[in-house]
Amino acid sequence: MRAIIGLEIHAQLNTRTKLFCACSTDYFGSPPNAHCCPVCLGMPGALPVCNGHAIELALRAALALDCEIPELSKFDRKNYFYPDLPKGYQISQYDEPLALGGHLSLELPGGDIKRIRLRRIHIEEDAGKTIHVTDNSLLDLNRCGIPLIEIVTEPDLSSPQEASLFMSQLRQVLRYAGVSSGDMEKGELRCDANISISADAQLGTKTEIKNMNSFRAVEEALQFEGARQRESLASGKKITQQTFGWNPEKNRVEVQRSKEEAEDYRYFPDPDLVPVIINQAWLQTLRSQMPELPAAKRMRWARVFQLPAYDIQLLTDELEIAQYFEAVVERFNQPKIVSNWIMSELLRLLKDSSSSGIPIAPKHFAHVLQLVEEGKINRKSGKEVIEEAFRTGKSPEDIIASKGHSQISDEKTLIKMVDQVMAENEDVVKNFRAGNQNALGFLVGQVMAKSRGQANPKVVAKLLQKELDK
Amino acid sequence: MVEISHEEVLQIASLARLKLSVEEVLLFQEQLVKILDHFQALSEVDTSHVQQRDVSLLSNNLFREDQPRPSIPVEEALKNAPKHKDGFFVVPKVLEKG
Repeated sequence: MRAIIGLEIHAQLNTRTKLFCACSTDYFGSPPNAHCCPVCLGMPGALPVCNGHAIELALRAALALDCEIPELSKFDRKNYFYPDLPKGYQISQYDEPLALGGHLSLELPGGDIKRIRLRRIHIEEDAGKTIHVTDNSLLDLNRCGIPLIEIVTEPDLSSPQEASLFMSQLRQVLRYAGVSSGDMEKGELRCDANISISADAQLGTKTEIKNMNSFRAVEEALQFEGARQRESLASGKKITQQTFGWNPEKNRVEVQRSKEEAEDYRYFPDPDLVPVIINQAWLQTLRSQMPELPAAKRMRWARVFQLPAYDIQLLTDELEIAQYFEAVVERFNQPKIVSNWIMSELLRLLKDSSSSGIPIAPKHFAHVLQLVEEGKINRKSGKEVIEEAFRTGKSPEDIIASKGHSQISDEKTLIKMVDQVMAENEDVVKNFRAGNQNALGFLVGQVMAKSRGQANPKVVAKLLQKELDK
Repeated sequence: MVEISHEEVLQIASLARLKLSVEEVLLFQEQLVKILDHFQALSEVDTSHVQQRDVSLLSNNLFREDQPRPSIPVEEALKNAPKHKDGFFVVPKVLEKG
């Protein structure tokens, strides 16, 4: 029996102001209700005016996902009575959404591509936050009116793993396209799912799970609900249509309500807002501004940089890292070396770092790789320089100058050490001259130790060979 | 004429969390009947040939720049609330929404 899963994903649009008023969206960490005005508080007589940038971002999402974009789209009121919506309705889109159809080409772990069809994308405003305390509920309306897009898929996903993969690849596309930062810890990307289990091609009765706010939650909640449905069906019980919420602490789904029909929301066109007209000229401009999307970037990298699939996957995961890689390669054109250093050094440093952003400039990173390549510093010093530049923001040149990381390639300096080492290891020297080539490696090691790692091993080996052959 | 009962007025009032006096119930009963009658009259007009939208009015979008402006002070936001605490609106306990 296979699972049939469809997702509804809410993504917060990257705007500075709310969807219908000029309150700032930068509310994280602010006191409650400090980002409100008569419009988002639902004061009588206050009138909404649509944020044009929000529409543009939603259109970018539609273009990135190959949707059909009708020329006209309108806002509707979705009526429901709950205090997190002070107006008594949410401004959303019902029968004329911004975008229809479209798809995401899901890259499966084996490398296969599965096309996941989308049903629609519409724009809506977020609701406020309700905190339940013993006797009352507390309301913080800072989030009320934040612009969202809701992306609805067709039921094309067939396992919890696929659902979670879809969510992460969709997030990647939205981040690349600049539509949403998709920070799941801040609730900027949230997921509801429909799931049914079916023994044949027929669709079974579906249930809905809400409130899955991490990739793990998506996978675990769907696994839990799929297993529950399979058990019910196996014991001859019928599945009833209902809505659950995922409780990540208890690792289980909990009943929220039986299915509400769409009519309950009494949708009707919002008379306070004019429809949005999307003409071809506008779409053309937006199309020309679209950045390279993750799938296209991966294909180009494979072709141009000849990198292994593993490297490409890892480095294109976050746009910031992908752009960093490209900026370094522009200055130091050895893609595989750059890839190795970013994967082993930069990603490790970023993982341990608490601040956001990459403190070492790409040109500095490239400069260190250049110095290692030219033998001016050794690999170990290179790593130390990168780490220090990462922590302090200093330029590699300053760090090398102050720390004496520079590699010693000067033969006059090195010959003294070579002579010293040969004098201290007469037996080994004899051994070498008797034909034991391995002895050379030992002597090079001794010179390296004497120079505390700063000697250029290639020059040392050359000098030793010359001296030993005398 | 549309009928609307005393109970229906009270029901609507309770949904809107309004406490009405007996006089007010009678007053609103009369007014609601008038409003509904008015809409009934409107719905008798045949609009099947009328377009829902006048497209000529829709040649321009009405957008706002994405420029933040100051929100109102928290005290101001909370001023009309029957109850508030620590900057939050306090409302009667509600069930977890779906």
